Amino acid sequence: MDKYNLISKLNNNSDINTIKSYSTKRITITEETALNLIEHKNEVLKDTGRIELSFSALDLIIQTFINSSYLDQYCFKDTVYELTEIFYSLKNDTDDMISDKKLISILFDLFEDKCKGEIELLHKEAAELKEYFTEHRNIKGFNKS
Amino acid sequence: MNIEKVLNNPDNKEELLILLKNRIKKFKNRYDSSIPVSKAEALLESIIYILSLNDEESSITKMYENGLIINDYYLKESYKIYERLLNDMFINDNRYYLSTLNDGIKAFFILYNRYFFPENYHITVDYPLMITRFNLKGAHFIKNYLFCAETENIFLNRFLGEDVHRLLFNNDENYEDMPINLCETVFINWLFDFKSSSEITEIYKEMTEEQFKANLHNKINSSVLTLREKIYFNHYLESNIYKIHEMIRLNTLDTVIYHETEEKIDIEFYDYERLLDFEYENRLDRLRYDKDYAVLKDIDSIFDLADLLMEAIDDINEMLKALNFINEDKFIGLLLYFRNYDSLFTEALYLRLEDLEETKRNKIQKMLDNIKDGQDY
Repeated sequence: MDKYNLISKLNNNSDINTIKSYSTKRITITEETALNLIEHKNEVLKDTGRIELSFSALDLIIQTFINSSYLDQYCFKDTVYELTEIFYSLKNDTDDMISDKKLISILFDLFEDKCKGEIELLHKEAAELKEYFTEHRNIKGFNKS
Repeated sequence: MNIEKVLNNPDNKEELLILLKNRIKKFKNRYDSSIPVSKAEALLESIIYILSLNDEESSITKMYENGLIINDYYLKESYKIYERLLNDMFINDNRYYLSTLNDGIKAFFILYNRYFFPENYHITVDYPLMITRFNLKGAHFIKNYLFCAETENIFLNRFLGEDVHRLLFNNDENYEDMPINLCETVFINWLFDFKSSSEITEIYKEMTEEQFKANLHNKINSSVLTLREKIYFNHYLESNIYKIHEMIRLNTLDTVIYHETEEKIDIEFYDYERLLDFEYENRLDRLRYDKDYAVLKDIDSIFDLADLLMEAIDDINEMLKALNFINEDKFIGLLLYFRNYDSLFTEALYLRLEDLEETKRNKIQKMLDNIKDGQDY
């Protein structure tokens, strides 16, 4: 029995129409963009060695970040690509100690306040976050919420 | 039941997938959308382990439910055995024995996760048993390990703790810090009636492996041991008979057989009975005219032995041949008493000493060195 093959069948596929429905007045998500974002997410999941079973974290990332004052139609897709990579890497690096919702919320706050919309700076913040969690992973109180 | 066949059956795939999905959902936080593939694989392994506990094939769901019941039984049995073991645990300070049976097994009952990863036992089982590791996992492994440990414990409790300590200490002064099994050495010594290695070699060396095996099984079966001990030790013998037989053939049993201490040799050789005159004369004739060295075997007194050898033999090679019929304890006694004689006999004793295996030779030499010059033994 191919165990990996069996497990990969569990992967949850995001819905293109749902993603399209997150469009705002400033940013429109086309069918092509939605498809690209889903394909990219699946690649990142594969690269980070994870499987997605229930709701889609990509949906949550888009819903949250589409309201950022630093995103526009031009940079939206590439920024979501990078956010997806940062998100799944951090999920691994923090041993799933932070829930999806909370992690996305932390990333959004950093992106808006500290990084002023600079994705490169967010990469650096994510690296620091990883370091912080590595040091404190055995300390009680790091509960998911 | 062939678990691979069950897993490869296309009809079972869908059910297995649903079961895995449910297990993952229960395992992961409900606020998480994903988990690492490695965790999903571990959960799948756990499902497969629980399924493999079944004897008969049925639907995946039924097999999983039944497997959980079997696993719970192993866990409960492990706890029962462990309670009994702790209540009557043989006392010894071996570090590995104590750390595994006291702390390690306790930690197992605390850390064991019967719900998500039942195939793991989370602890390092350092203390080796006489019967080597079984190809088992989780609570099933612990149950069997404890059952064997308890059987060995029942056997060990037939002896005084200090006697077992002395026995093991004589084999290796550092045994308390070594990952060795306490029971095996005691069992082998018991099996051979606590005789010295040379005596054992003398008794068994002519036997074929089959005769030897039958002899030892008989010793176990006709003993006062419980049925459980008999089954366990017979099973041990089945797997180790060749090793023990070879040790006897090569006279290397001294790695497990208790070496007499200097003091013990001191006591042992004073009490032997001398031969009656006619017995002595009879043996002298057989030695002198027939070169029948076997007559030396059942002589208890080393003084009779020395007298006979010195009186009957005047050739160094013949003397060496004759000395081979004398067991090691008596040989050491002869050496201690007659080490300063200026005779062919003493020369032969030293030549035989040179032929002994190095460790043994060094031990005897150390004993000889400890006796002050001119002191009578």
